Amino acid sequence: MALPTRFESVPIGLSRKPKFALAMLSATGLFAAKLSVLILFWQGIVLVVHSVFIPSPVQVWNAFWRLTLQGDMQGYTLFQAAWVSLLRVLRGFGLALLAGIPIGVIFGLWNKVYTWVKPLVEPVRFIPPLAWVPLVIILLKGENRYTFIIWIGAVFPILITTMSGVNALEKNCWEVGQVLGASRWQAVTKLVIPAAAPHMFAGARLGLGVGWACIVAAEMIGGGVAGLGNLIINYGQLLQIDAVVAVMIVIGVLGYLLNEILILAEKKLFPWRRDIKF
Amino acid sequence: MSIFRRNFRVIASIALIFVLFSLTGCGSVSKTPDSGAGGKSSAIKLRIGYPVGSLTKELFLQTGIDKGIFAKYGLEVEGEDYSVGGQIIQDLAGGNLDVGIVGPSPALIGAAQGVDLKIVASGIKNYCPLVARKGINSIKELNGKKVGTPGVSSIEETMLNYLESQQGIKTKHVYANVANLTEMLDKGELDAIVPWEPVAADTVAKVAGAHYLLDTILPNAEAADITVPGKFFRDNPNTIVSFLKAAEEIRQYILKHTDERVKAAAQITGLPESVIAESIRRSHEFTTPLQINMDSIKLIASSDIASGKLRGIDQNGLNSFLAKNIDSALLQQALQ
Repeated sequence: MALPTRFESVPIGLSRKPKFALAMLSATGLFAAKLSVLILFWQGIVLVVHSVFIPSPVQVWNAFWRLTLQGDMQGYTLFQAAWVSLLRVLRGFGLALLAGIPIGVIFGLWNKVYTWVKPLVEPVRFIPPLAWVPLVIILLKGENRYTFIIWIGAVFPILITTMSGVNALEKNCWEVGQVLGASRWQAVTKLVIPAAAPHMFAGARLGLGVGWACIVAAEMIGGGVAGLGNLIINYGQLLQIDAVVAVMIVIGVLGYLLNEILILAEKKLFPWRRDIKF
Repeated sequence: MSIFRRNFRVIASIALIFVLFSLTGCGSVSKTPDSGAGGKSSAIKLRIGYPVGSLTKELFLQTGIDKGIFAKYGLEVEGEDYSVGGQIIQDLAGGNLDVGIVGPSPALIGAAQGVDLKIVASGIKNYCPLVARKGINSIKELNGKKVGTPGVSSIEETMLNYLESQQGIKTKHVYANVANLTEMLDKGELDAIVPWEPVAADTVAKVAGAHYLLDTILPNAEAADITVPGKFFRDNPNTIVSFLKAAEEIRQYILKHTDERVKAAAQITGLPESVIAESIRRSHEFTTPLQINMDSIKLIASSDIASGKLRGIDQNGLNSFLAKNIDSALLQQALQ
């Protein structure tokens, strides 16, 4: 009797759908167990430390529902605040993609350009987005302020990974392109960009993460009436730490979901990259 | 083997440097303020928090330091800048500050959240000016407009709520760092601002057409009080009395030598003397009596209950809540 090849399915007595349901159930159970451990640990800290500034999981849950249903003191619900912040992040991140990828490709293709501008660009990369706040208040107006802070946080990871992706293209590939008679433009569009695309995507994920993490810093500028960062700042000032923690969790979960969406897209676009995990 | 030894020496040296740096960081010693007024051998160090740009450092603390008033009472003060009162309360609660010159709103919000603190004296009154941009000439015209305040927990925000309830108007509240309010008014992002002084006077001087609608929203209302942690209040009453004696002497000095202190404050802040003088003329900053205006505190607390800022307190329990958190016994002792 011939052994089944790796491409043949092995019958184990369950059809595809129950197997999927079982896997989902198992994953959900595991997640619930992990969450329970975390909540128990948290509650333990609350009982041991016993500080007015450390809210219990139940207090945070109540604050979450209060913000979701009733909204903050100005009437903005958690959903509205999250939507406003999400739009700000997507705007800043979109502009970071528009700037980071072409500049990264140029720097990667023409290393001399990068070497020439490196002393100017690299120090800017190490300036924390928060340090830009006073200047941004003077130079920009309204939503552009938030966009800039998120853009400055997101653009460098995209730029650097794109550049390294282009640099990583082996010399042989160039030579093959030349042998096959490809023009420079064709080499860039048919060889360089497809080869560097996984790096660009990885950079985009990094950039989105940093951009999302910049939202509180961006909204610290003030001037806006809604946003997750605004909620954190306002409830922090009111010492309502239960609400602060609830919003922090929402920021974390939304950031995680955005990252998961990008990972899924990355897996679909580059199926040969099996190592995409985080 | 010799390479290993050399590497080990390098690593050990680096580790030693780190340890030494850590030790020097942890090595500062300060005298605990429990020996009462007029410490015998050295001054008692007090860490004082205040809103940055409020002249607390430049006018109040600096007068006490320059004229040796704190030293006279055996005190050495160390000022800490904060952008908003809520942060001062957090540090009072965490034991990182001994005294906070902070608005009654953030102090009462903190107390309502369970922070153990005591308001012991008035710091500043008349400190919530209303400045409007060009074209807005009355309070009623602010209905539906954007008005900036330094933050949701600030006394300025409470006063704006109070103004709205009194005038029957509703504005869109915008929160921003007090230093940024001027810029936002100038760019037309805000129609009016309720900052503290001398930010208001500076705004009027800098922004074309900006003008005072009100010198202060509620005359003679408490705007910043001398607030201490409850434990500090119980353990160090003599130190607090010393500080209050110094505060009263500073107040008298500023009253008598206003021009001199305006010049000194202008030098430190870099603001024109006219701006500092104008802010003091309008707000009587640090020259009003240290006695707490309880009527204004009740109005402030009531407004904060109505706006949802003061959680867990209702109008019925307000008097007992205030009695628990405000104690002017040490002030009476200091003023005797």
